[in-house]
Amino acid sequence: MKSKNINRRQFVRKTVGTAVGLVGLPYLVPSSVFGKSGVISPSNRIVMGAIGVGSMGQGDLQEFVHNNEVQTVAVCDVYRGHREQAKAIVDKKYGNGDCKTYLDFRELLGRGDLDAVQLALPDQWHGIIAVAAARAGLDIFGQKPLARTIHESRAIVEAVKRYNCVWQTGSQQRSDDIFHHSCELVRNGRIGKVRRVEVGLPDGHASSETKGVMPIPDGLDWDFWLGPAPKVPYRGVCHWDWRWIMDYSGGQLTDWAGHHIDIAKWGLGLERSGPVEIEGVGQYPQEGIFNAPYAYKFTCKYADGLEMIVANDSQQPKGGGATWYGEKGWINVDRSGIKAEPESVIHEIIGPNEIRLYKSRDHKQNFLDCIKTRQETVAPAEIAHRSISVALLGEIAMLTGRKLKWDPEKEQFINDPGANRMLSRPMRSPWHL
Amino acid sequence: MKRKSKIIHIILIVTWCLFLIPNHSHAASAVSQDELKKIADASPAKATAVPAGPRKLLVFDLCNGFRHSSIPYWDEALTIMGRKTGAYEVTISNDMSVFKPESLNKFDAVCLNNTTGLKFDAEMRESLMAFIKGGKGIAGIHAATDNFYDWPEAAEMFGGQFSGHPWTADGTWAIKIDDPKHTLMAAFDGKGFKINDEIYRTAPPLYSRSKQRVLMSLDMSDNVTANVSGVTPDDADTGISWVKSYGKGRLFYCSLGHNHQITWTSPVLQHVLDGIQFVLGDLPCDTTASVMSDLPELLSKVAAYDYGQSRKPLSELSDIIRNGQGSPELLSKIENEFVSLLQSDTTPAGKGFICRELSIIGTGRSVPVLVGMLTEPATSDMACYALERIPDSAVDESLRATLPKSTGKERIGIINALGMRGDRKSVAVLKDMIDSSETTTAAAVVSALGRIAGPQAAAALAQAKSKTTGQLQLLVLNAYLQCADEMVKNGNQEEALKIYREIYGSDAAENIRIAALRGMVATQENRAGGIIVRTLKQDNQAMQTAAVKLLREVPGEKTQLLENVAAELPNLSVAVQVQLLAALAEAGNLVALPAVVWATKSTDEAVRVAALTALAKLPDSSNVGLLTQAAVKSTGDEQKAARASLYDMPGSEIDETIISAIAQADSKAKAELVRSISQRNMYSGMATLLKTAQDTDSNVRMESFRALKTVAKAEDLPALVNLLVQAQNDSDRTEAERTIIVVVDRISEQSQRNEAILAVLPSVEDDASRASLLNVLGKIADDSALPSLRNALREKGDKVRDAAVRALSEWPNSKPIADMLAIAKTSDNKTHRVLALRGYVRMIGLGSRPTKEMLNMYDMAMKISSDVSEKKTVFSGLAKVKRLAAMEMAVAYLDDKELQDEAALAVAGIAQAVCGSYPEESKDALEKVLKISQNEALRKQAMETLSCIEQLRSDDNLIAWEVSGPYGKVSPRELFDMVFAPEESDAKDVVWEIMPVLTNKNQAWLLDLSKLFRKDNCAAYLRNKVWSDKNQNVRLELGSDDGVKAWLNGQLVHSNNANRGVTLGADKVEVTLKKGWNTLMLKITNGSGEWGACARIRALDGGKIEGLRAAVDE
Repeated sequence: MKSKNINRRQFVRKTVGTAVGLVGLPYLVPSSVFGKSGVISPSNRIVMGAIGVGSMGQGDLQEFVHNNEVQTVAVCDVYRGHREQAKAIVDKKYGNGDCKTYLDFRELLGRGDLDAVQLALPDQWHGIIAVAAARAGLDIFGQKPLARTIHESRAIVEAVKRYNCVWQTGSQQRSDDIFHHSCELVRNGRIGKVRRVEVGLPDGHASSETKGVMPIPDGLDWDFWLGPAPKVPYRGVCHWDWRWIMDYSGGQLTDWAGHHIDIAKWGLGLERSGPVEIEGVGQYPQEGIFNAPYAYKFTCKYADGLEMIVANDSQQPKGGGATWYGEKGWINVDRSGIKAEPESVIHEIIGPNEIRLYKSRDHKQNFLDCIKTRQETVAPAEIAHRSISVALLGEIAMLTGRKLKWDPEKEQFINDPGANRMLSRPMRSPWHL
Repeated sequence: MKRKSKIIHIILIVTWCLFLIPNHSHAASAVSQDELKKIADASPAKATAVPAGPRKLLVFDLCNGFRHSSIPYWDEALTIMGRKTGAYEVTISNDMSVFKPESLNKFDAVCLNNTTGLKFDAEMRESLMAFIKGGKGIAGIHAATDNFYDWPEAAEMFGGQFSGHPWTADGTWAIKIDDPKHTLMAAFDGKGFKINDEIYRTAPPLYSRSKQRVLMSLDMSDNVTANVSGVTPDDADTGISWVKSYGKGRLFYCSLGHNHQITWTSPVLQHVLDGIQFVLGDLPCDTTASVMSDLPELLSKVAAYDYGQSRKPLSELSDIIRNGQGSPELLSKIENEFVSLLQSDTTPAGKGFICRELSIIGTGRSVPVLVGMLTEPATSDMACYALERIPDSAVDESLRATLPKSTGKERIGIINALGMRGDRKSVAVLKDMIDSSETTTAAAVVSALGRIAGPQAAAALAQAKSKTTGQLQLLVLNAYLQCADEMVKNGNQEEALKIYREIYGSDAAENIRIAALRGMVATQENRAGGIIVRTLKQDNQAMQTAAVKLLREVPGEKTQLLENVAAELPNLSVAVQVQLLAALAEAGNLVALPAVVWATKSTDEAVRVAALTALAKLPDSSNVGLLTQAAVKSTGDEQKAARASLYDMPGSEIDETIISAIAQADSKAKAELVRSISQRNMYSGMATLLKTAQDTDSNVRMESFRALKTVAKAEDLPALVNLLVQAQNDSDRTEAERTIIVVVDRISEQSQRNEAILAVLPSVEDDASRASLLNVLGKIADDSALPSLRNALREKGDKVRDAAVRALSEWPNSKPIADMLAIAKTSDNKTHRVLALRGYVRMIGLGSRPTKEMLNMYDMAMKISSDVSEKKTVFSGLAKVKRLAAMEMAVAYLDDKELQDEAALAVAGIAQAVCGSYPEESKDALEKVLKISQNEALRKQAMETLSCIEQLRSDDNLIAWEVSGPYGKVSPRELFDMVFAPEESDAKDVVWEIMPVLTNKNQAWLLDLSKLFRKDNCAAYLRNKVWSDKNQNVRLELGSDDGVKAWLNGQLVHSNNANRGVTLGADKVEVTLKKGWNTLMLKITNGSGEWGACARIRALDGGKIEGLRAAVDE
C-alpha cells in the first residue's frame, strides 16, 4: 500500500477489516490479525463515540467498551450527570482519563477520527442525529425505534444508503436464538400458511402525576434536550419517562414496536414491506403529564389479505410477544420463550435445505463484524424503518379514528390528506433534518 | 320513593285494575296476569308533560333477526303507560306496509320495540326519513340498534349500531348518569344505579358524543362492569340512552329492556315514557350533542390552562377532536374557537396546545392568525408548528411573505417550514440567503433547498458549492446529492448522473465522493460494473471498500461483473479481500467459486477463514472434500469456518456427496462427515449412521450415536435396539441406551414408547444387554413395562435384577409401591432393600393419597426399617406431608433419642407450613421441639414460627386456607374466565393442600403463591370456611396479584381481572355471611412474576369484627 495522507478513520477501515462474520454463520475472529492472544492493539480497534448516554446508552456503552475490538474515545449527552457517568465507565475500562465529553453532538461528530457511533436518544432526536452521523460517513448503532415519524425514519434510511454506512438497530431480539428459531419455523411453513399474526406489547400508563414547573436540574441543558420538540418548561419528567409523552415518543407502542412487531414481520418475510390498510382504537390518559396511549389495538391488512393485530398485552389473547396463527397451529414467542400448538413444532430443526434466516448470535458483535466486512447487519435501517412504520401507522389510525389506506411503495396514505399531514412533525427552530 | 307518591300510586293502581281487562290481543298471551299487574303498578301515574293534543304512537315489533322474548312485555308496557297517563294512544304493528306514507303520517312518532334486521325498500326509506326530518319522532327500545345494516343514513340517524353484548343478561351492571339535570333523567334523581339486564354495545364512530346527547352510560369505574370478558377499549364509553335532533325531528333510544323485569322497573318506565313524550313533541329537552354542550367550558379552561394544572380539559378536548374526525362541522366549529382563543389572552401553555391541535385539523382559516404569530419570538415556534402541516397554499404564500420581515431564529423556523413543505416557489428567495453571514441560517437554507429539490434548487446548490467551505460546504454537497436522488426518483437519470459525476470527480471529502460513487453505480445498469472494477483497481482502499459494498446495489444480472471482480481478488489488500469474499458469498453466484477456492489457500488466516465461510453460499459438491479436509487439518477459527460451511451448504446433492464420501473416508474425515449428517439433520444418512455406529474407530462410533440422536425417528427404534444388543462394550451400550431414550422421547403416543424394546427383550439372552434394556425401560417409565420388570426381579443374573430393582424404585408413579414394600421386607440383598425402602417412601408421597393412608404407610416403613439411617429416610418423606396428622406423628418420635433430631426437623418444617391453619397445635408442637432440640438453626426456625403465630393472632387477615393449583398455562386474559376443576360443583380429584405460611412475620398475611408454585400464566384456588355467630352483612377485603374471583357459599361475589401487586384491601366487596360456617373460595391468576393474595373480613364501615373464625376442612 502506498502511503498517502489518510486520516485515522480511513486507516482503521483499511486495517481492521479483517475479521469475518458472514450471513448465516457464527462469528469468527481470527486472533492472529489482531495480535497475540486475541488482544487487539488500540490503533487497530474500531474507534467509537457515544451520543446519548442515559440508562439505555450506558448499557450499550458497557457492552461496546468491554469489547476488545472497540476503543471508545468520546461520549456526548446534554445532561452532565450522564456524561460524567459515561466517561467514568470508559476511563475505568481503559485505566486512564482520556475519554472526551461533549454536550453538543455536532462537536463529537466533527472530531474526524471516529469509525462509528452508538446512539440512544429520545425519539424526537433520532432523525436529526442519525442523519448527521450518516452524513459524517460513520457506521451507526442506533437504538430503536428508528424515529418518531415515518418521514424522519425514511430520511435515516436514505442517508445511511447515500453514505454507504453500516447501520445496526438496537432490536437485539433478532440476535436471540428463540426469536430466530420461531421465525424460521414460521417461514418454513411449520404451522402452515399464516393468515393472522398478533403482536402484544406492554400496557401503558393510564394516568400519571400532574406536575408543575420545576427548576431545571443542575447540569441539564433542557432546551437542548427538547431539541426539535416544542418548547415547554421543565416539569420533572426527562430521563426514561420521556417515552410516555407524545412529543417525544409514542409510548409502549413505539418503544416496543422495534421488538415484537419487528419479529412478527421477520417470521412472515414482510420485513421490507408495509400494510395496505390500518384501523384501530387507542385509549389516552386523561390526567397527568403522560399522554401516550395506555391501551391500543389496531389491525393492519397486508396486500395478500394477512392481518396483523397489534395491541397492548391485556388486549391480546396470548399476552405479549408475536403470535402467528397458521393453518396447522400457532407459535407464540416472547422473551420468556416459545410456545406452540402443536408443542412438538418448537423442537423441529431447520436444515440447510430450507429457508435460513440471517444468523447473528450477538447483536453488538454483529455490528462490529459488519463494520469490517461491510455486509448488511441483522437489523438494518430499512427493516427497522418498516417495523416502526407499523406502529406509527397505527398511531395515526388511532389519532384519526379512520380506516386508512396505505401505499407501502410510495409511503403515502391514499386519498387522505388529513392522515398524510401526520407523516412528519414540524421541528422547532433552528433544528431541521 | 317518597311516601306520599306511594299512596297515590296505590290508589291509581286500584283504579287502573278496573279497566285492565286486555283489549289489545297482540301477543298478550305471553305476559301473565301477575306480570301485567306488576307493569301496571310500576308505570308512572302521570305523564310529565300534558300532551298538546291526542297523540298517536306506532309501536313496531317485527324481527327479521333475533326475536327478544321481552317484546310482548314492552308492547304491554307502552300500551299501559299511554293509557294510564293519557300521554298517547298506541297502535301495535309488525307489518312493514305501515311505513307507507299514507299510514305512517297518521302517527306522531314511531317506537321500534326490539326490532331486528328490518329491511326497508326505497319507498319506505323515503317515507320514514321524510316523517322524521319533517318534524316527527322515533324511539328505540334495546335491540332497536340491531337494524339498518344496509341503510347507513338510518344507522347514522339512530346514533349507534349493535356490535355485541359483553354484558350478558345474567349480570348486574353499573350505570352512571351523564346528564343528571336533563329533562329526561328526572326518573333517576341524578344517581347512578346497578341493573340486571343485557347491555347492547354500540361502537364508535356511529356512536359518538359529538353527534348525540348521551344521557346515561355504563359506569366503567365499576370493576365487575369493566372487567367482563370481550370488553374492548371502545367500550370505555358505552351509551345506554341518548337523544338527538334529526332534521326537524327527534330521536330517543334506551338500550335497557332485554330482561322482562325491566318492564316493571319504575324509574326505567318513567325514563322511557319521558323519552316517548319527547319524540311525540310534548316534552322539549336539550339535544345539543354532549361534546358541543361541554365545549364552551372546555375552551375556557384551555384558555386559562397552565403547566401543572389538571390536563383533563385538554385531554377531553383532544378526545373530542379525535372522535370528531368524521364530523367536519364539529372540527370547523372548534377551529373557529381556536382561532379566537389565539387572538385572546390565552396562556402560552393553552396556545401551545391549540397549535398542536391546529397542526392536525387546521385549515386556511387558521392561517392569518398563525402568520401573525410568526415574527414574535414567544409564539413563532408554535405558529410554525401549526402552519407547517396545514395543506393550504396560503401557508406557503404567507411564509414567503413573512420571510423578509423576520430575523434570527424566527426566520430559520420559516425557512425550515418552507423546506419541509417542499415549496419550490421559495427557491428564488432562499438561494440568495446561502451567503448569509449567519451560518445557522445558511445551513437551514441549504438543507431546505436539498429537501425542496428540483432544477432551480440544484442550480443554486451547484453555484453554492464552490463559494462555500467547511461544514457548510458539506451540507451544500449533501443537499446537491439529495437533488440528484430526487431526480432519480422522478426518472431523470441523466441529470442526476451529471451531478454524481461532477461530485465524484471533485476534490470533495471522501465520504461525499463515496456517496456520489453510489449514485453512479445505482443509476447505471450497464456501466455500474465497469465503475466498480475500475474503482477496485485504484490504489485507494477507502474507495475499494466502498466499491465492494456497492456491488450489492448494482442493478440487473451480475454474472460477468462478479467474474471480473473475483479476478481482482489476488490484487487486493487483506482487508478488502475479506470484504470482497463476503460480498461474493452474498451474491451466491458460482462464477466466483474458483477465486474463493484460491483464497482458501491464502497465506493469511483471515482470508482463509473468509473464503471457507463464503463456500457455504457457493454450494458445490466439490466443496465437500475441500471443507472436510480443512476441518480435519486446521484448528481454531479456520476449523470452525470449515465445519460451519459443511453444515450450511444447501442442496440435496451436497447431502448425497457427504453420504458417498463416508465410504472412502479415513477415520478423521469420517468423523467430520458423520457429524455433518447430524448438523444438517439429514435423515437420508440414517442407513449410513447405523453402519458407522459399528465402525472400528471409537470416535466415529461416538459421533455416529450423537448423530443418531438427532436424525433417528420412531420407526428406527428396532434398528437402534439392535445396535444396543450388538454393542461390543459398555460405553457403546450406554450410548445406545441414551440414543434410544432420546428417540423414544419424540413419540407422543405413550403406549408405543416401549414397543421396540418389549418386542426384543424375551429373545435377548446375554445379561449385559438384558440389563441395558431394562435400564431403558426404567428411563421410559411406561406402565406397560411393569410386568417385564417384575419378571426380571426373579431372574438369576445379578446385573439383570439390579437393573430391575433400580428401574422400579425410580418409577415416576406409585404403581410399583407393593413391589417396593415386598423387596424392602424380604430381599436378601441389602442394596436392594435400601433402594426399595427409598422407593417406597418416595411413592407414598406421589398422587393423592388421603393423609391417613399415607401416615399408615410411613408407619409401616418405620417398622421395616432395619437401622437408624433407613428410619431417617422415612422422616424425609414424612416431613413433606404438610398436614396436622403428619405433625402429630412426628411429635411422637421427639422422645426417641436416636430419631429426635429428624423428628424435630420434620415437626418444625410442618409446623411452619401449617401454622396459619392450625396455630394452637403448631404452637404446642414447636414448644416440644424447643424443649428437646439443641440444633441452633432449628431452634431459630421454631422460634420464628412461634413469633409468626403470635403476630397472626393479633391480625384479622385470613390465613387458614387450603390451596389447589397451579392450573392452566395460558395468558391471564384467557385464564381468568377459564373454568378449572375447583370451580366445578361436582369436581373430583382436586388436590387441596394446606396453604403454607411462607413469608416473614411482617408480611404473614401474604398468601404467597409465587413461592409455592413459581409459574407464569397460571391460576390457583384458595378455600377455607369462615364461622360467623350471626347473619350479617360484612365487607370482604381482597388484595391480589394479579386477578381475583371470589365465591362465598358457592356464589360468585367478586371478579376483578387486575394486573397489579398485592395490597391489603385493594378490592372491597359487600357480602352476607350466614350464621354458622360459610365457605369461601378465591381464584388468583398470575401473568408473570410475583403471585399472591390476601383477604380479610371487615365491618361495612371498615372496622374489625369480633366473633369470626376461619378454618380449613380436616
